[in-house]
Amino acid sequence: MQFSRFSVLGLLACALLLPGYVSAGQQAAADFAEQEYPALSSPALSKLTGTLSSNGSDTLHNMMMLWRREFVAKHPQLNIQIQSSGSATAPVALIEGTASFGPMSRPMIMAEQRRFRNRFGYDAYAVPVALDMLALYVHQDNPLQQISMAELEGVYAQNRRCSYHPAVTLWGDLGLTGAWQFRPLAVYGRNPASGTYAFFRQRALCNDDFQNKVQQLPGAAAVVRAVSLSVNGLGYSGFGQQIAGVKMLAVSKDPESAAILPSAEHALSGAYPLARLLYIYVNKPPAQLLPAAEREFMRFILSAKGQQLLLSDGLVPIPEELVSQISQELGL
Amino acid sequence: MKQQEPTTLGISRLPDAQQRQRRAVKRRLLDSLWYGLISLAGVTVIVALLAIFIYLMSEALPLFKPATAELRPLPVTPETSLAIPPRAVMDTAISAEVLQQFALPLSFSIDFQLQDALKRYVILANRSGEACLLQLSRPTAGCIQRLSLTDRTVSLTAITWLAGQQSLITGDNSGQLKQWFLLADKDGQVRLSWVKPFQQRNAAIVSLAAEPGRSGFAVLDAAGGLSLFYSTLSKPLWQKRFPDMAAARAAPDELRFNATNDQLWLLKQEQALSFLAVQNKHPEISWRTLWQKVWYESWQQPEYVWQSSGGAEFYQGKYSLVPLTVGTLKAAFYAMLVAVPLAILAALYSVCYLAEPLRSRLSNLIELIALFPTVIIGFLAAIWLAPALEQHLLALLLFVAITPLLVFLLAKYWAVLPAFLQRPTGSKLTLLLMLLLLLLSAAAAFGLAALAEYYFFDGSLQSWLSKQGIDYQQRNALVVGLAMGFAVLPVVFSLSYDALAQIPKQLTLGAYALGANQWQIVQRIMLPVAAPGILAAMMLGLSRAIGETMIILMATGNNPITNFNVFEGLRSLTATLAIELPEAAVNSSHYRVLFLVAILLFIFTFTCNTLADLVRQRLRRNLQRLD
Amino acid sequence: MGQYSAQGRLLYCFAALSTAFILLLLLLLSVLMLSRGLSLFWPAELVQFRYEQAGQSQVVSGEVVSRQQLSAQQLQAAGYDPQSLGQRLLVKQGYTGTAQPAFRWYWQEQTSEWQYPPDLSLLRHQQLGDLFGVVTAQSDSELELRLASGRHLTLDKADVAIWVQPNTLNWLSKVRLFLVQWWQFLSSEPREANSAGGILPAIIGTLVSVMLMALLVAPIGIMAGIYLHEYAKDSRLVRLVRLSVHNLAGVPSVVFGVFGLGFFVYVLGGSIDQLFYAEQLPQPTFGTPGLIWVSLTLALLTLPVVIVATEEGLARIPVALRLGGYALGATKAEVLRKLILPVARPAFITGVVLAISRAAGEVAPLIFVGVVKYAPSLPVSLEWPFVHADQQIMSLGFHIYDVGLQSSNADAAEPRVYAIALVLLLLIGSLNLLAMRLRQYYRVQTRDTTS
Repeated sequence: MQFSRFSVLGLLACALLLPGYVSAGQQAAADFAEQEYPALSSPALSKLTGTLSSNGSDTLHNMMMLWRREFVAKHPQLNIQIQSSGSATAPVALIEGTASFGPMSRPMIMAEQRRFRNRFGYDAYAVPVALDMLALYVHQDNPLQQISMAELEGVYAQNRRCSYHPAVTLWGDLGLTGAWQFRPLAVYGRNPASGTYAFFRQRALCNDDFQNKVQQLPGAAAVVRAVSLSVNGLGYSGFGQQIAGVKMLAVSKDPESAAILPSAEHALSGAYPLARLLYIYVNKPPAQLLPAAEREFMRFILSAKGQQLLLSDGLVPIPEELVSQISQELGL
Repeated sequence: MKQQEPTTLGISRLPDAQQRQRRAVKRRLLDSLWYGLISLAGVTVIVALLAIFIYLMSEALPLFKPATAELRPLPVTPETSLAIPPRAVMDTAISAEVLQQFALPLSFSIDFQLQDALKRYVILANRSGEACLLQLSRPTAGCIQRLSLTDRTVSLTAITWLAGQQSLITGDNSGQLKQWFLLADKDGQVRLSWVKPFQQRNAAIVSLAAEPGRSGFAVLDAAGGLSLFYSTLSKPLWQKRFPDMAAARAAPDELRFNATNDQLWLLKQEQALSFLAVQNKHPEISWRTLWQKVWYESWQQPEYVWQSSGGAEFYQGKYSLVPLTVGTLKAAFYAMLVAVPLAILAALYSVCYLAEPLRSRLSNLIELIALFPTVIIGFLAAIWLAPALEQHLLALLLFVAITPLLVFLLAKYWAVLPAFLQRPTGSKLTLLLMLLLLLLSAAAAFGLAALAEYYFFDGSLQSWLSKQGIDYQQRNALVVGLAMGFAVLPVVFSLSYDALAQIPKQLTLGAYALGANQWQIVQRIMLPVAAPGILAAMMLGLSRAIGETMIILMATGNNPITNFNVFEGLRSLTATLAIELPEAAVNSSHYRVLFLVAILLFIFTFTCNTLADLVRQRLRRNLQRLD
Repeated sequence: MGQYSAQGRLLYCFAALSTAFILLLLLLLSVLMLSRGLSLFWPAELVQFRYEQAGQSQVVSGEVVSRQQLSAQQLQAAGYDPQSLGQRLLVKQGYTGTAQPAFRWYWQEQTSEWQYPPDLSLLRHQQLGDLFGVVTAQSDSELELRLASGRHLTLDKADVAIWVQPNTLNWLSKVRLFLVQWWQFLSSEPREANSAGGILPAIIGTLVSVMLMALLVAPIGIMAGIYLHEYAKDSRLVRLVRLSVHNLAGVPSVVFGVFGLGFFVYVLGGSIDQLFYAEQLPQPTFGTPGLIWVSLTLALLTLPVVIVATEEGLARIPVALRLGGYALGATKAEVLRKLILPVARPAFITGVVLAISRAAGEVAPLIFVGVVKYAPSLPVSLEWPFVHADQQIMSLGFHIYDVGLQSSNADAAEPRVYAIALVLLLLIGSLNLLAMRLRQYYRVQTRDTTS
């Protein structure tokens, strides 16, 4: 009885006190600069309706959310659903027709394209939307500063076919001394569905298999989180995933070259060895335009405004020439 | 006066026969309608539940369909879908200029030349079977390895890379087929190593054709025998002899697959003779590859491997169910190790020593644990328990060691306790005493652990373990065991509680009357009588633990290792489903293997539950007899 | 009671120890959940200090989230000077306008000039997240904020959801702020990759999916229970069927998810699309994960629960009631409808409520059939058909998994998990309480009927 009286009081207090606070924030005003994403004059486009869904890369998840937020503010009738379990889910969803956008952090492989072609008679269309860098993360108390690609292979690969670097199991094998010398490595990576997994496998492992002891975590952030909780941890994940408590390592291509930390300029110049393009795949029949809503969303992503948003998630805008070429092909 | 109608007398008139009959018919109709409706619903449910199993089977069974192939004549009119596939592009040709740079042994005639996928090594071979391995970056070094690919008495007739250019298949004129990998030896020196033979063919090998995109190949021998192989199996998936084909003047001399591996073309000098329509959807799956060690391309030795997809071309899917099954059993085992003693002892305590209001309150309290969704427990295990355990592992081990010790001491010096604490039955005070003891023991464990780490383990137990060759991973089976043990505990508790509480009072009272003490009653009467029930409780707990998904998914690293080390992680069947099913392409081998995993889980838990149910029914019958 | 031997005493001690240990764990867990879940929205003290590192000095303002004491060995191993350092603080500094992240570790020993400025404000901005600074000027529509770094920001007031000065708040206003923050948490949609904002879509998603499930499972489950108990003959086959139905309750939920994806989504949904929505193909309507498939999968999963509860309820009804009915010449259907079902009704409701409470906590099977990380549009609306069965939804359980382990802003997201878990526990707890009450009510009622 006492309890219920208290809860009634609480509710009453809520009801009395709330309005002053809540009223301030409900309108998500989104008048971003018009010139950065010029509106089309066609009246049909101003009232986009319906539901779009996206299914694919976890790396692009935050970006899809950001793009979605800005875009839906412009077209409030439109509903965009986003599911991100890994790049490998994108082709499946596009083929089954369960999604209209397939964000992928790697290009489709032949088998996936073939399955798509068998279903529709043409290839899925890849739109590069961002430049991403994989970063190597260690715990903040780890004194290690850099790592080479060969050492990475020694840490992750089962057969080490790339450089035949000896296996690395202790931090001492990477040059650490003192208390760290005999500490074992706790190695984290992504689940096989992710494009990050495939890209890392291809770039650092020469397509070799991962060791069984590599812990597979579903989610780019989960890897960084695990490293931040584990002093012995080492993990790879997107550049934009950094949180307090982890440290990025500089990566060197080969023993001769200097180790560099990931940055936008190094990604564009190609000096950083773990940089890659991220894509959104769409189902676009050749010589036909995408449906209006999808086309408009792609146009927004490739606009200066959409590309600028990339920076807030630690990604890098793609070069201008690529944008204009793609825009032409999509008929934007 | 007329006689009054009898109805006015206030006696209700019975309906006349016709009306009565009509009403009876209506009632009967309604009755059968109900019967029909409810039976329909019941039967529908039963059929639907059966359908689940049948559907799961129907998705998984195509995996084990044997491969078939059928010889088809060439169509008279050329069709676009039936064009001769182009020769497989495998970068086998090395330009003459490159070859000239090498210091080749004299008199080495080059009949076959192949280059590996990373374009770092070249293999040259001649018909007599002699082979030479060259390293492209060191042309002057000459052959870094010279070997014979045949038994010297026979000559080499065919050689090909499998897709991905990691494994080499050779065929000779005695019909032998061998598989070779480029492997690094102890010193990091790359060698072409003999891996395994395939089942011998009856006649000389004429041609080998690798399947594009996967590690299968087709073999044509001189006796007209055609066979399909897969790299991980030494027996052919399909074979048939076409004697008239070999006898014919235009005997084929080359085999070629089309891009989707459903047509195998027979050619003679680039001219198509005929083709085989091949049905071979899942060559990589067989009972052997699922349950036995398999020697995969580039691996040093046969292993149990689960790496389902690589997101790359030519990926050889590795689907061993052994690491997943072992992982599931490992997690369940450690969970049971935690849950069973705690739950049974707690059930014993509440049944034997507690009086009624407290007894049911306690059991309600413990059953509250079942309300925690496992996703919450999994989250706490991953974020809070795993890092805490990594830091305080020694403290936990000491706690587990010290607590029973303290209990022994307490039991020994029980008589010294104040009188109000000694009264055993129905006392809340004992629980408080034990709480105190637990806290004391925890404090002692933490204190001792700090000292012990400093003096005995060089400051960190993990480094010390690692020096002893024991790997410690943060998200390990211990964490899962603790978290899942906690989740399973209420199941085991409430069923053991039921089993113990069902024991007829006259049994125990009779024993007391005969002068038995508490220990004898528990040991000789309660445990034996309730044993089937407790066993059933354990089986149900086990089946819960096997089916648990979220805790394992969150609290382990999902690494598919095959061992029972408590300090290493694991990957379970359930977590694999949760991670990989959304990504699997419908009707691919991967998809179907995941359905097989679901069937395994289904059968395992279903059997467990059914056995437990039967045991419980028997127990109930026995107890009824005792009453 | 009998004598205690030494072994008996030992057994007693160990049994009591186990019980105490379980209770201790339960207590720990509850305290952990409650304290973390409730403290999330309790306004914390804001601090401002000067931080000096490598000759550079900066002013930091924000909220100390956690502290960590490192031992001399740990410091030495990490390459720090164990003489001068020891404790570090995780400070939530919010949006700083610089490259610095919203959360950062600082060494206690390198801080100085600790202050608790009363004019230091916490602003919750729709786009930028939380901001800590001093409001220097304000107009009707805008306000100017000075951040710790000295930068000035001009913010639109419409974008600011909360603006308070926590260091000046008295106890009552803190309670007020606490409640307001809870309300906003419960009534708004998530922002910034689920690391900020509220959980309304997840709550609604969970509720709608389990309600729809209840609508599906209740009639079928109850009818099947009646069939098994009343109509099916007690043959060996029926016993086997009954056993199987009961044991389905123990089949892992993830297996039902597999079935749901393969059969419901791909086969059933695909066929529905081909039959009724052919004009929209290849864009699927029902051939894709969605609310209806979530509910159907959950219904299948909880079917055994309802059937078992129904059968148990029917078994408890005294035979006399039944025989009395038959003696008066009633047919089987009449006895069932008029006599048995009214008495057994609470048992059916208990079964359905238990099914709902089991379904509300499920996560694993839902990953496949329609629960997503982010689907802000609610599955219910005022537009026809009101419940949008083809839409993807969010659920509380999956939200915990996602926010807890997958959020890219872990420092901000993680504390929220405890609050979400609290909401979920409250939901499940109250459902179970309801079931318990119903069962008690029903026991009393049957006793009345029988006596």
